[in-house]
Amino acid sequence: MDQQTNSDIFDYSISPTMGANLKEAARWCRFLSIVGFIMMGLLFIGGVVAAPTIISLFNSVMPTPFPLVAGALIAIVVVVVLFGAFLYSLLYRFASYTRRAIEANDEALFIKGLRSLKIYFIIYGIIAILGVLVNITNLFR
Amino acid sequence: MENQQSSENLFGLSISEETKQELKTLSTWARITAIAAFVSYGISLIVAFIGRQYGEIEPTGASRVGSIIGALIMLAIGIPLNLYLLNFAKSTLASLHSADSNNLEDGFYNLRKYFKFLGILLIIVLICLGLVVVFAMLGALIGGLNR
Repeated sequence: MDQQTNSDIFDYSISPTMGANLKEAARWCRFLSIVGFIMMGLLFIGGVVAAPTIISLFNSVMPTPFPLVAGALIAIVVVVVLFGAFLYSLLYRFASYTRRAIEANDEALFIKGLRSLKIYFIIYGIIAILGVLVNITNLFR
Repeated sequence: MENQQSSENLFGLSISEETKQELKTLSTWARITAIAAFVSYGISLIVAFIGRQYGEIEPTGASRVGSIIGALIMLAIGIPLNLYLLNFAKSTLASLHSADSNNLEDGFYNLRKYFKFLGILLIIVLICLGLVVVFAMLGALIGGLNR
């Protein structure tokens, strides 16, 4: 018997129902990631537009250590935008690879998609655990 | 058999060890995420009922009611959402253990439902945001005309 190729998994193992479910999941993921990218872009633009107002506000309240505060604010916005963009890029990669994998019967692409979703859930899981810790802290505050 | 089959039979034919490993880790983390979310919702509800509110020394009735309503809304959205995620994780892990393709089918079905739920939720949030912007603009316009 010849060695089975990677694409066998899709020919025989992934049923049409599974394929349809995965494709729809990928479609929704694509939508979520595109909207997420737009949100991150708007957040960045909003941060840039609002920066002068916030800076002048801080100037009137605390003139001395101001550059530090402004720098910290800008850094927070940049980190949030970059982090969000990274998370949404993982979702987009999952959507894109999974759709292509099903269409092309390519297991290598399917694995790439699964890997992206895995990293997404690892990060999301860590955030969820941190959320639990914050809630526990609130409980005993 | 000429070449030894390196991958394990799962659905009647083969699935590579690498795919199986990715699915296993993915499902494990999906389960951790869902369980952490459930625990978080439970604690949030307890905090809303008996905890101290932010920026308050003694919580007032209005802020207490507000935080309870907020926690209940979060619960109503979060429980079905994370149930889909938990079911995806449970079914996928079960399929990897029992080599049952029905379980994997069920897992992918729940993953689809999870992302669909998130997508519909996002559409609702976007519509609400759009309405807020439209009403704010209308308010500003009417306010400008009345001057």
